[in-house]
Amino acid sequence: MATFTLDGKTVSAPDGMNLIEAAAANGVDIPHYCYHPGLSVAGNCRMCLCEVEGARGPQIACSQVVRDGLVVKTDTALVEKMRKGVQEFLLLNHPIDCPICDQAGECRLQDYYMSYGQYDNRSDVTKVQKQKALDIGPLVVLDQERCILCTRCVRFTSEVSQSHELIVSGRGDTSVIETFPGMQLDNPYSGNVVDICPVGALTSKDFRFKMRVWFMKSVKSVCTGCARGCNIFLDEKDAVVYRYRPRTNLAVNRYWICDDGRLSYRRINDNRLTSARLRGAAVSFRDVYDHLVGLLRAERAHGSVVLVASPHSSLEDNFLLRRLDRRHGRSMLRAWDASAPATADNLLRCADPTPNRAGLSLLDVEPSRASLLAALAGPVQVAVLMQNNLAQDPEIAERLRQLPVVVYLGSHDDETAALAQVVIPVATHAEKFGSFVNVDGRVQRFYQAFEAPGDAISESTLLASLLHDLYQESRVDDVEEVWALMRQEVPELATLSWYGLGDEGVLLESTRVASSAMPNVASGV
Amino acid sequence: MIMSNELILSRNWSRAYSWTMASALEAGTYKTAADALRSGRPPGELLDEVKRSGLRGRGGAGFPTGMKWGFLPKDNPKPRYLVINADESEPGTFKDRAILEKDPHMLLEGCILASYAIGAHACYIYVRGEFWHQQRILMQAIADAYRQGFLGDRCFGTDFKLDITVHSGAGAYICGEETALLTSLEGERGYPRLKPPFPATHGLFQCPTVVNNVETIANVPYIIGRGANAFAAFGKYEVNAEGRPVIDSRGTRLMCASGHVNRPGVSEIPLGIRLIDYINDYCDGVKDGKKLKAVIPGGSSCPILTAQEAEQVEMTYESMARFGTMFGSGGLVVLDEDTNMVWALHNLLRFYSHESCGQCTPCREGTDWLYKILGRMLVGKGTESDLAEILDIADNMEGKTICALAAAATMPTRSYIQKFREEFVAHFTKGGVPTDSRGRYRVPATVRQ
Amino acid sequence: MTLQFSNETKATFDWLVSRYPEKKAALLPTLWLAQKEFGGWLSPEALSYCARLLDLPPSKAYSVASFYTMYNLQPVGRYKLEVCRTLSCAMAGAFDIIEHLEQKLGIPCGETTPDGKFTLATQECLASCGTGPVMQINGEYYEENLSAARVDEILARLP
Repeated sequence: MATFTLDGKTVSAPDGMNLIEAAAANGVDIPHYCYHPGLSVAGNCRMCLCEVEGARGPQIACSQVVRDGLVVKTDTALVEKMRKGVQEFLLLNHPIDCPICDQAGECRLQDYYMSYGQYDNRSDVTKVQKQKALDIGPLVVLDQERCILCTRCVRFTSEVSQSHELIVSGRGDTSVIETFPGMQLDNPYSGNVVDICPVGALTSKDFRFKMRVWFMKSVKSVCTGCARGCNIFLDEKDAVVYRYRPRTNLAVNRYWICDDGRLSYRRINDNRLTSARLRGAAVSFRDVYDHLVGLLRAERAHGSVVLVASPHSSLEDNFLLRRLDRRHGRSMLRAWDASAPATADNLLRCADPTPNRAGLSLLDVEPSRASLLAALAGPVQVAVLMQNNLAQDPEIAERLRQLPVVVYLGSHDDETAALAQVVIPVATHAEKFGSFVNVDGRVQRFYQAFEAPGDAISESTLLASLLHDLYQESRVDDVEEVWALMRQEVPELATLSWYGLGDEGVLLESTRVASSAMPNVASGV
Repeated sequence: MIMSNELILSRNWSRAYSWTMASALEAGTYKTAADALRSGRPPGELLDEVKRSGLRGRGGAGFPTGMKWGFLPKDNPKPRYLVINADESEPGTFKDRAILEKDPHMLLEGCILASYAIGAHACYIYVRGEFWHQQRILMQAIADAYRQGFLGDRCFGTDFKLDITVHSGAGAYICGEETALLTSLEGERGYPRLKPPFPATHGLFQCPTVVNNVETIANVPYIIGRGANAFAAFGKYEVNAEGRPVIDSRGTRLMCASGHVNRPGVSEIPLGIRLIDYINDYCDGVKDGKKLKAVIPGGSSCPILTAQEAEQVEMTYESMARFGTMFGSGGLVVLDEDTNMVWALHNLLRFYSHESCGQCTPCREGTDWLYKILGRMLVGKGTESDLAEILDIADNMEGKTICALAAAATMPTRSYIQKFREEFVAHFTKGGVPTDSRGRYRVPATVRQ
Repeated sequence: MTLQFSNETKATFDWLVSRYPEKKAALLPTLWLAQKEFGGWLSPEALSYCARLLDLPPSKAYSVASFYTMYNLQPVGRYKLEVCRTLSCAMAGAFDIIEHLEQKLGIPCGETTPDGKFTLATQECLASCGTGPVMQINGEYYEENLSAARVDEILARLP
């Protein structure tokens, strides 16, 4: 640790940490545009200039490392003037078109104008004209006039995605961000440049002009696009999800998410099951629930039940399904996922398209198609499928069709819903609290953003009710109560709580989890 | 009047075919290098000699050369590089061009000695792209030096290996800034680098590197061959009672005269003479007998001197500093009584706006802003408050950027406005003067519209 | 149509690359070779070719080339006339030359005559301050006593 002086106070930070981070850790915000912790230091925006004792002139905080005895001032008249000056320079050729800009509300130019600008406009010069609304790739639109040339996006494509699409061309005040003539910004991580663009130069084609950011609510969540479990903010308004944004977690996804994951929010909005169905007819939730209780009670006396756990469902859901299986006694617990493997790479993307396969392993439930098919081929009366479109697999679909009753706890109106006699709509991860265990064995929590649509209910709530009604278990009302049960039965979770997982999650020390990870490239983040 | 100054750098220029190897051999060029290498003189001795000579960088900053060499780390196992800055592009400067054209072998001998002194086995000469003719001369000289065995794996038959490569720029003033030059040499956009780290430790290809100006290195054979004292005999060196130097301007300089002088061109002067004597004796005075108005002493980035100041200033680093300006790159531009200062500043600001690399916000935006304000003023649309505004914008630029280009634009700007304020005010009070009394100083069409 | 260096140019390129410890340092010289070989300008194809030779992404070659004024990213006329317009040359009458050329060729600076013979451009300081005004024709300096009449003479001699 280095002890240094910041605005007259003696503070400390790890030796060699850059001053922006070190000051932030001590409660002092140093404004900056070009600096980004996930990228190399460019030092071009000059917004983070501050006074350093003994230095020749003002120094930029992003390339200043802290060391013992450093004396830094960020609250002087000179610093104030420099920030105001940079802000004025940046807006000199900026179109100042906030009303028609999609970045409004999350634009650093706006934020910093309020905090550090507030100058009287004295510019009467003609603004430099550049190109606007350039279609530079499948996900991204570029407005060169709004660009402040911080080069974050250029550094992203050269250092992180290593796809090198974005470059600065020209020089001086006619410099622009561009792609090579005829080439597009098209890589599996392209959407990140929108997030890191501090201004309205790079905006998302998908999100543009759909919603003002200040009307939305952001919830901490986890991407369900693959087993990586990238941390995200889920931005919604009125139970409609508008976008995912990466949420920093240095142990998982650093500052990034992939484009497939970014767009996977659409699944929450589309093709949802909102009411229960009994043999194709819409029924009330009460009716379908009573029917399900009746079925399970009857099957307890005679016949057999197959319960199918899912790597798409949360740890809590699967845990309660296992509990139901154990209480039932004459059932079989199986697991499988019929979705196609995803494209993997050495940055974030995993081949495993499910968010919680390791969670199943933690519960000693191993997904196996053969075992599922064998179980379905037995004297089965009822199959309860949870959050899993198993009917995508023709062979499984055929077996399911031969069963007397298929119960589907599903969030989406998919092939399996079409096949099941009993359909109970359930919540997605946006509509409940819970946790997933990612490919590395890290258990990560997600928050409920809004209520599930229509009659949809979280699987945990449904399963807890069944356990209460069938086996007189005490009611389990929220995620922490499920965790209280899990602590008793899952040794790896014995000392953990849902809330205690924190924003970064907890890496489980478990051979069960480690062995579960689908063969995949190492997390090279 | 001194017509020719065959002091150190220009002493071979009057020879026939002075740029050829034959002429160089006849003049004794390469003897010093051959002796030093063949006799196995310890490199440290050469470094000490350069240090003692008091040679200061002739590219602009005037940093002591020997000290710069001494900054190379002793224990760094990486290769070391010598890089010669021949990107001469400071407006008003054309002295390195003269060396390249007239005596490239003196430069090459300097390169050999400097490389030997610092332990470099590769030397790159970064020549501005527009100097393709000069590049040809230099490349021929290098090829001849290889053929003579002066360069290559066994320089002068010794174990010392040195390769010299000419690297052509492609049109960018900023590449004269030493870190931008290195970036450009590595095949990148010529962006200046953040310092620290400095080139001495993390220079070309992240290896220890010395970057020196052409003229600086061309002095080295003389210093090594005839000794530091012989070199220091030229120029001015004075110490105070405590023995500390108060004037440390030793050696000679190639001065470039342009603008309103009767005899423009390059001449070598001993440091320490009066600036006005230089104009009168070396340049035959102000053109057409007009009165002197102002002098840019060392390239357009240097604050301007009024005629009155020009009468007093001496051609030493210290005297220039005392008058708030710099010796810079030796590009002296004389402005006569008819010169419109608004026009002159406008012209230079376009230059800086055009040449800003665009990396740092204050320079990228500020240079063009100043240029545009001056353009408005030039056509008579200005007010006194604009002058305060310009000074404030300049203040927001200077010292706030990675390199000194912003300062190179603001230092002259401030000096023009401060020293010729009445003229600026009179200019827009009169509604602008698109041409001067000669009717020659046209205003570019883009501004006229 | 795939661009390719002639054998002779390829040999020069190979020699150039051998002069640097890192291949990419040869980018500027390689762009020079390409501009000379492929019609006086660097088309996207030429840039891609240079980048490929040096194992660089084409965007790097484009970004670098666009930084320097001497690489032409658009086709230019058979003769590129460039007149320095910085202070010393301007004081020596550079704008007279520029205006004369604009009138004579009937094009403003930055454009090419319809017959493709001349491209007219201004330049910043060419280090000819003592001999200005200076005009470059395809890089060759024409300086000392340059006047409108001299310019006419020079242009008349061009084939």
